[in-house]
Amino acid sequence: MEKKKVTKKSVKSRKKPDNKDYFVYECLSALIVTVILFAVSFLSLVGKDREYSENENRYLTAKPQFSWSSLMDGKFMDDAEAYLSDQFLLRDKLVSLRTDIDVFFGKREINDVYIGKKHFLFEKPSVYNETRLKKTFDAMNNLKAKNQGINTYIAIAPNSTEIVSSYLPSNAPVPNQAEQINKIYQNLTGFTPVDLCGPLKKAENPQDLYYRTDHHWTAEAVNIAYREIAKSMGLDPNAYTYENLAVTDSFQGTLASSSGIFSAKDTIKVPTCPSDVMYRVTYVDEERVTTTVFDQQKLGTKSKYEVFFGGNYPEVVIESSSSNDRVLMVVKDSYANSLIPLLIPHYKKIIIVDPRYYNGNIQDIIDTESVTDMLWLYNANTFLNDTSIASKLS
Amino acid sequence: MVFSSATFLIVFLPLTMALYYLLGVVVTKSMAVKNLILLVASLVFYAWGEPVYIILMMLSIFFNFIVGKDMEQAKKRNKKKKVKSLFIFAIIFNIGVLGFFKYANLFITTFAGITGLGLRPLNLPLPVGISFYTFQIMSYIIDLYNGNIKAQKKLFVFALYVSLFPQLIAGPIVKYKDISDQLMNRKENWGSYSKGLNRFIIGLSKKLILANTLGSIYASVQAAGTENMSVLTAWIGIICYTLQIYFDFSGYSDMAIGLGGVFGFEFCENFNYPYIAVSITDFWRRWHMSLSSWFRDYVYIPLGGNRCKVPRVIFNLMVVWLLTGFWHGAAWNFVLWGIYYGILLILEKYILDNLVKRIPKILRWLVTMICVMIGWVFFSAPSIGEAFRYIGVMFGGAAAFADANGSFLLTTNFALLLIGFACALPVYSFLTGLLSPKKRSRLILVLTPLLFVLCIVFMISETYNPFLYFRF
Repeated sequence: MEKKKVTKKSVKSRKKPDNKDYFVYECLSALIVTVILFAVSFLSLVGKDREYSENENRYLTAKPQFSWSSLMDGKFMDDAEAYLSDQFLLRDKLVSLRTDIDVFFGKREINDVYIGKKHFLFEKPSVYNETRLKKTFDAMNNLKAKNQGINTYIAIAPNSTEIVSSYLPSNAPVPNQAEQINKIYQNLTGFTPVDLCGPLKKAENPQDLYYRTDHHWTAEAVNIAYREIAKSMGLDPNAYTYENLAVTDSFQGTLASSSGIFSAKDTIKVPTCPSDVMYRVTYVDEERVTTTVFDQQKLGTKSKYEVFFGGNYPEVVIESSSSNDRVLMVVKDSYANSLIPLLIPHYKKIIIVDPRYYNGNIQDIIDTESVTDMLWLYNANTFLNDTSIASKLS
Repeated sequence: MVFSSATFLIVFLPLTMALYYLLGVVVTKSMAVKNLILLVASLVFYAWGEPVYIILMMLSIFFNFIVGKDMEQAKKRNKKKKVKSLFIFAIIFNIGVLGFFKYANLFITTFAGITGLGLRPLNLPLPVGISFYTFQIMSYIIDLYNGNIKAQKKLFVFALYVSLFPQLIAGPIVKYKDISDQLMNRKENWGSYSKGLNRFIIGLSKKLILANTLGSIYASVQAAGTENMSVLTAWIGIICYTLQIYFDFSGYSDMAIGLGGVFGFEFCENFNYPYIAVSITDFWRRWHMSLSSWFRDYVYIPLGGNRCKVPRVIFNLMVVWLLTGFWHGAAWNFVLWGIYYGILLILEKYILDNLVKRIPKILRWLVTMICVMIGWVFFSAPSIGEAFRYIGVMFGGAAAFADANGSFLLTTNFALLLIGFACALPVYSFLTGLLSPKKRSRLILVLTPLLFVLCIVFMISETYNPFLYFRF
């Protein structure tokens, strides 16, 4: 009797749709879905594994090795899931299709990156956090007070959201960085502030001052900033002539990676050094000495901005054949990496410290080297978020 | 394992389907083989996410199976006392297991907080799906006690009922009496297979395309905190969450019902456009219907339901809603959420009944939706205090009505919100109703395969994880 009931039901469900067409098309669409399901499954399992992803700049998960312990703590299952999705066929294409869909439907912020007009990507700007900055200011003011004899300068570079604001997506919430930077300057005593916002804003083509796919500034911005900083520090910006040489036109930086939008490519230019100046670069912790501030090898990698100094290092010392006998200390983030090459001929010695990586006490360097000038060179986003300055100065 | 994972879609589902249809339906044509394949698949499915707690589930299955058999034996011999004591024993066991694994931490921390004793919480992770399968088991025990069903004679069929992977970890809560026939007799056919597969894709799309995307907006709103939130941002946030939880939960039910169909089962419906409800009572007739019906059948009606004097009905309602709130999670804001609905429903039943009938429908809908959204604030907030602050912002307790954040959120997610509204309300069936039957039929041929491909795109792209080399 029960069997009868079931067959009746199945007959009913076959007749249920209001027309035969619907039933046929429903079956056809289920058939297509089934084919896709099995095809995807088959192709994923026979497909060749990739070891490394250029776009994601990381090694992809390899086939997990089975063990009872990894099964019991669930690691095997997590690895299997990561393996299947990492090695999924056309993974990069699917990711870029997804961002295209998102952008098409109006999304303008992906992974803390604003998607601007004309392929311009922006780093989501930092906020002004009073308590965090108070610690930084105290530490910096303390250091200055202890070293009254050293001429101390501070230059905070604005970010692209401030300078290329006409390319921002409509309504994008951005703070006024000129105000933020002014507030920073006002909280520092004994520092000579260098205004970079004004001159950068006055540039003819502000969109050329920042990379479209990376959060750094370009050679054009560096030239403007160099002239301002030099003027403040009493150097003659016209003493040496530099030329900018394009070294790559296929740079896709951090913002492209974060957002997954690889629609534009940038050009990196490096300044030539005046031919009569020789210098030596020492990477102190690494115990490495070179005769150039450029690392050509980095142009072959994803991180092409690291062509300047090969990236960020705790302490780098540049000694030059300059007739000047002044010693400059630069405390900095990566924005400085592309500007420092222009300062080389002006100083006998430049000591570069990156507090994010440097593990000693900055005062110790000041005590051993006879530092005459000190330049703090940061971009606003990094400075606003920084916690390492306070910890490295105390 | 979850349905929206690569492991499930690439390996588990095709493998289970192939084995089930090749070995079970084509080669052996045996119900026992089909059930065995499904049982093994279900146990693997559960163990994949809970390699340790699967022992707990199996113990629970074993225990209840034995008790069920004993109860029937005792019934046949007319030993009423033994039946009753077995029944009480089983209920205490099931509630005890659920209580221990789900609520022990909450009670210990709350007790320690009140008394000031330095008790340490157990910090046991919650076994996935325990709330669902315990309720399914209890439906079996209670219906058996009441004489509505016969005891299941085969352990592996009972085990299949409890562990059946389509509805194991997020419902619908299928009562044994509704499915016992299908466990032993079901005939797979093209109709239920294709209907089921299409339904599964709809559910998968709700989860991967809509719920996850909307959820990330709410998460960013919530992460920014209520301190500097504008009224506009708060409303966008909670609207996103309202849509997210519906697509997430109903999507999961669609997937469960759909997969059931693929293997020849017919599960009960769980959602029926809850966001077109014009009253709270109406809302709960449309939201998580299998849970409401469970509480109605096994708590509300045994307590006397509404066939008693008013104070007693109010008491019954409050008990049900307190339990409903508690069932949703081991935190006090879920309890508050349950009480909130209990009070609203009592108000509607006894006080607002006449008033409500005179209000235009659209207004009733609007008020209902606002009440539901306030409910979701309690449901989603990390603490009760934070929930009240959020509600405060929603109703004007903010520095600004709209700010740059709010308008950026609104303009960049406008299309997504519209799509969300259209899918949460019966817009699709309205629009396709305008088409000729022929065109309507053809639409599905394009729609489901396209959605499936989109689901894969969304699933894979969500794992995009760039390593940022110089984030400075």
